[in-house]
Amino acid sequence: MNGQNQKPKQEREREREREREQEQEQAQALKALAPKQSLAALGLSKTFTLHLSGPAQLKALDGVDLSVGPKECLGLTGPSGSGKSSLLRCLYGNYRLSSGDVILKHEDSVVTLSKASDRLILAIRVQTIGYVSQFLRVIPRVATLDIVSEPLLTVGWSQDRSHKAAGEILDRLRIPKKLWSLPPATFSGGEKQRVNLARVFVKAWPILLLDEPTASLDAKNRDSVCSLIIEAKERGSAIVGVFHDLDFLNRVADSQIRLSPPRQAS
Amino acid sequence: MNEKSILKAQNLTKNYGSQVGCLGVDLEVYPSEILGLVGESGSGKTTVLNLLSGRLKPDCGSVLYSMACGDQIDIHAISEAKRRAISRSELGFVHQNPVNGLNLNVSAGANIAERLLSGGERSYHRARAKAIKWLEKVEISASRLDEKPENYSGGMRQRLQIAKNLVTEPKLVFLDEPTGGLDVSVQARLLDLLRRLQADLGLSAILVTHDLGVARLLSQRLMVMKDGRIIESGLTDRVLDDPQQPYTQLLVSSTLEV
Repeated sequence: MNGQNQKPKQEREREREREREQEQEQAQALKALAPKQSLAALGLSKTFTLHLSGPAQLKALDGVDLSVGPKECLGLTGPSGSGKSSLLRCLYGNYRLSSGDVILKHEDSVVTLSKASDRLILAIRVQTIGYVSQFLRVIPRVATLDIVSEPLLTVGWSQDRSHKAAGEILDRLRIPKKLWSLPPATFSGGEKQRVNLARVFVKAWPILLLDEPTASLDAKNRDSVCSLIIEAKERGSAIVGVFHDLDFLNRVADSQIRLSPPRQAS
Repeated sequence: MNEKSILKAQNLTKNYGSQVGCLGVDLEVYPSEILGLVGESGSGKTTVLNLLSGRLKPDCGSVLYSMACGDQIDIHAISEAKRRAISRSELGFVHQNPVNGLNLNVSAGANIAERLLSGGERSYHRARAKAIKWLEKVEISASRLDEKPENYSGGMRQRLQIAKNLVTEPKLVFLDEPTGGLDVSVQARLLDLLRRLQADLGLSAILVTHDLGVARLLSQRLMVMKDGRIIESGLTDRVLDDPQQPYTQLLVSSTLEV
């Protein structure tokens, strides 16, 4: 009996301990993120250990600092292999950080990414960070309209309202209505990319990460994406993007960071 | 974030004689979450699934399940009768081979209704109506309700098995290679179905698969098993895109694009 009574008490103490730790982390994180910032990277480094070849160490990012606030777009530039996509993936929690940290505002709190639980990162991806990857990866046989509606359904929108919003964004990105009921598997590269964009721009995000969003688009669609980005900015999104096209970069970005390929240890 | 898990396993260990089934497995499943469990055949995935669902007794460790009523129970500490009652109402188990989860000698409708009737449903008409509703959800024509599943194709049997498990609207479903051995077109339909059920019913699931592509599309978090142990776990996309362990790197790099 005694043992059973003690257990909850220990658990309560552990919970209090956890709460204290969380409060301390929160205070530290708040200090690291200036009041008007939405997202910051501090000395962010990423090194891959490739066990199958050696093991070899491959440095992708070496001490990157950045910060971005609401209504701001930060463009990442640098040659191929300088870690632009890796940086976005680190910011999204897709890659584990090797050192340094990412701090971001999520709902009413400030989150330190390296300490966030998997469940918290999942919640951040539902509510706070939208990410346009280079490739569309979806369950086969799901209709385009449903794919684009999903981020809204997940946050509790009705099917009708989500479908309406999805239709509007598909329209703006010139996906013909007759394709909406089809899965995007058979679409062209450009169409797939526009579906990928529609799926993110259908919702307003506090933070947006864009990895080459216009890589295979024609001029008209590039213009549409440009106005979507500017509108998102006006609505208050903090945006970090990789844009291969310099003209486009100058149209949307308020500031730029140039990455250079990290020096590999020999 | 202080959410409460729906299932919590601690230190699950099972040996088959001198052969290790699984060793010190800890895991938690949260509401409306699909947790993937991947690894080669013989790595202990199915053992873990059987221990979690109470079909197999562990040598040590516990499995705590939060029931719909809010009470927490240890799956292995309750009576066999109570465990069965919970297994038939709040839990589901989808076998890799639908033959193990269906009775091929009675009609599809009877297969579905059986779970309802054993759960206390007294009205034949209500049970039949629910059976029809669920057949339609898994895209089997209601006209085949009275047919025996021995006439069904493999893909249809698997969908029937899923319908049978979900008719009581369980909170947690154990999926053992649910798409193994199916045509890719049928597999895609099943993946879509499972995703929709997760969204619409708030279903939680533990998905055992050796197909990393299936794990990527369905599960939010992923655990990798090797030789009976969990060697790596985390966000599904992170485990697959930035694997840390040598074995996980081998697994990911051996797979055609996932």
